[in-house]
Amino acid sequence: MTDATLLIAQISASLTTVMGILSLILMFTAARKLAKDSYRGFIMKSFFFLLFALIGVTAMTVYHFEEGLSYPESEERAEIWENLWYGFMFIAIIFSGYASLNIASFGKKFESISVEPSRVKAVKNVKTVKKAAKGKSSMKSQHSNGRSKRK
Amino acid sequence: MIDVEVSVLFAGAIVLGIISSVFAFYAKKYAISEHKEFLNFYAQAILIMAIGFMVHTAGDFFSALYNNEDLEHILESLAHVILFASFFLFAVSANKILKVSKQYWFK
Repeated sequence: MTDATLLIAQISASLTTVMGILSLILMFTAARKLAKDSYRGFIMKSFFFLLFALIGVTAMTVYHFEEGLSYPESEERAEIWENLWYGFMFIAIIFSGYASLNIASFGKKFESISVEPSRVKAVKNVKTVKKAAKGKSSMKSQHSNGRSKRK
Repeated sequence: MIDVEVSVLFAGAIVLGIISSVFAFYAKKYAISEHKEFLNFYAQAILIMAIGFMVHTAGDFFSALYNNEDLEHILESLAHVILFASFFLFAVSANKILKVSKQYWFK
C-alpha cells in the first residue's frame, strides 16, 4: 500500500515539475518581447509566482524520491527538502495574492475609462466615420441653404 | 497527539490558500476581453493549487494526530495529483497569454 502511494506521489510530482517548467517557458516567451510596461509587469509577476511554486514542488519531488531510499543521511536531507517545500509554497501563495492584485489594478485602469483596448480602434473608426458623415450632411445643408437663399 | 508546528503550517495553508484564491477570482472580475481566458484558467489553477497544498499539509497534520503513516502517504499522493492538475491549468493559461501577447511583440 505504502509503496503504491509513494510511487503515485513520485510520478505525479515529477509530471508536475515538467508541467511547471513548460508553463514557465511559455510565460517567459510571452513576456520576453513586450515593452517594459504594466502589461509585461503582470506577466512577469505571474512568472515569478510560478517559479517559487515550481521550486517548492521540485523540493517535494526530491523529498519523495529520498523517502524511497534507505540511506542514513537521506532522513536529514529529506527534512531540508521538506522545509524548502513549505518555505517556497508559502512564498508562492503570498506572492500570488500580490500578483492577482496587480492584475486587478491593470484591469481597473481600463474599467475607469470604460473602454477596452481592443475596442479603442473600433471606437476611433466609428467616430471618424460619424464625423465624416456629419461633415457631408453639414456641407449638404449649407449647399441647400445657399440654394434657398438664392431663390 | 497534536504537533504545534504542523498545526500552524496547516492553519497557515488554509488561511493563505483561501486569501490567494479570493484575490485570484477578484483579478478575474476585472479581466479585459483579451485576458479573460488566461485569467479564467489562472484563477482556477491557483484555487486547485491551494487545495493541493492544503491536502498535502493535511497529510502531515493527520499523520501526527493519528500516528498513521499510511494516511500521510495517501493524502500526499492525492495532493500531488491535485497539484499536477493545477500545473496543467497553469500551462494552459500560459499558452493563452502567449497567444494573446504575440500581437504586442516588438519585431
